[in-house]
Amino acid sequence: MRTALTITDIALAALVCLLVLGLMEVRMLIRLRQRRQRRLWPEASQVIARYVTTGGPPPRPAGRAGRAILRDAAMQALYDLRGSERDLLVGMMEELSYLGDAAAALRARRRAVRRRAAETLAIIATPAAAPALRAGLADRDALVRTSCARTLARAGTQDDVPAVVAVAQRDILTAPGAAAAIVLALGQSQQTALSTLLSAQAPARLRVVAAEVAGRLRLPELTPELRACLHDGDELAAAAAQGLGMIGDIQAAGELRDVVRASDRAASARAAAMTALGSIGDATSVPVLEPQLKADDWTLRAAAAHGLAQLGEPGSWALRRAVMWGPPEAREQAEAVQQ
Amino acid sequence: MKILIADDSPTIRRLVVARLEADGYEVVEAEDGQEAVALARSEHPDAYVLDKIMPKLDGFEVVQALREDPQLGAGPIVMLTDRSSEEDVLRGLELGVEEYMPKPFSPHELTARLRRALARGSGS
Repeated sequence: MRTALTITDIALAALVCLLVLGLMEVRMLIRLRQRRQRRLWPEASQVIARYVTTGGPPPRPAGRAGRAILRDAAMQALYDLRGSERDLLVGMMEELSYLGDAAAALRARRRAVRRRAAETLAIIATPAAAPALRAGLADRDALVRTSCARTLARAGTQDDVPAVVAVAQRDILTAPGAAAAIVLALGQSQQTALSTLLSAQAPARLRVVAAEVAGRLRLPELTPELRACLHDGDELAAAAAQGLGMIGDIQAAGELRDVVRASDRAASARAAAMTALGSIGDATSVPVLEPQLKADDWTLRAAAAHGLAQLGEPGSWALRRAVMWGPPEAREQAEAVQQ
Repeated sequence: MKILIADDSPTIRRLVVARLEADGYEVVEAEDGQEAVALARSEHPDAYVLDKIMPKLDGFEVVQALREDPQLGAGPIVMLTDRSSEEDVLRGLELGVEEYMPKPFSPHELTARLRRALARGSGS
């Protein structure tokens, strides 16, 4: 018993020693790397600045460490630069094979390496990176493939849109933020793709995101699709109403009023429609909004009051009527927005 | 003409310095807001390029310190920002920022704006 305990103790002590030694080595490596970075970074920044300002042949970094630091410094600069200086720096990255390295790293076994490569390609975002990015769309890691899809949405061609949309569809439930970023990138550079995402054939969740993006980017060419979404599920109708309000589509006023009147619809959709009518500034909607000041649901009362407050004199009169003669709950909302 | 550039990113500082020097300006560099104010007092630059987000003192605090010191004159200020929110622009204008450059930015455009701000200053 005593011997067994001693052996266990020794084994445990050895394990702890090994762990401590391992940790010390990791700390030492990190310190060495930081020291090397502090030493080489100013020179790398200087080289980049000179190249971007005066042109000439691209710099030749010395050794693996020098090459890695030059890449990191260039990446930092690319993040903050635009215009001709950015183009020059992208050219330098291509000429020094950083782009090729990242494309190759996108096929690495380790997920972290592939993620870093996808990040590099996202910052460089040049058409030359497109073949590697297309291959990355099939990556088994969601972060890698959504990053590639987002970059292709910005830097790719019209032909890439179906594959990019397919990634957004695949990941909308498991990585909703990343999928939404793809839809946003599409909205910024390939607006026709949003039209496809708003169609009834697209997955419901993706349609909601597309409607939100269309509104935030204020894309008037998508108002027919957004109006069609008003007749769909409540979540989509709410997003579409919000979008139509942001765009200010007066032609949608009739359909938005129908949503407000539909007592079988969710309060979120009806409230969004009222807010949109206010944003659009459709004063003919006052008779539809005014009764909602007495609704049972306070979100409807609040949205009605906010909508009316934006409808000029007719809306103000409706609010005054509620303050003077309305039931307490209507008076409360009307007074709140008037203040 | 002497320009003070304050940015905590050495890479961005180098890029801006190289561009300004190529355009014939003399440049002094600061890596944080406190150093920027100290350099402004010792070097008396004619104009400033300030990053909005910096350690120790942010861009707005530096502008405030510059504008409150009667010995520092009223050289034009160009501010580099991550995003030009309305609130930031209004605050900057109130403090006396002449130009905003949202990042990502072009150093070429930055020097053009600086030249314009300097010309406006000397014109008035």
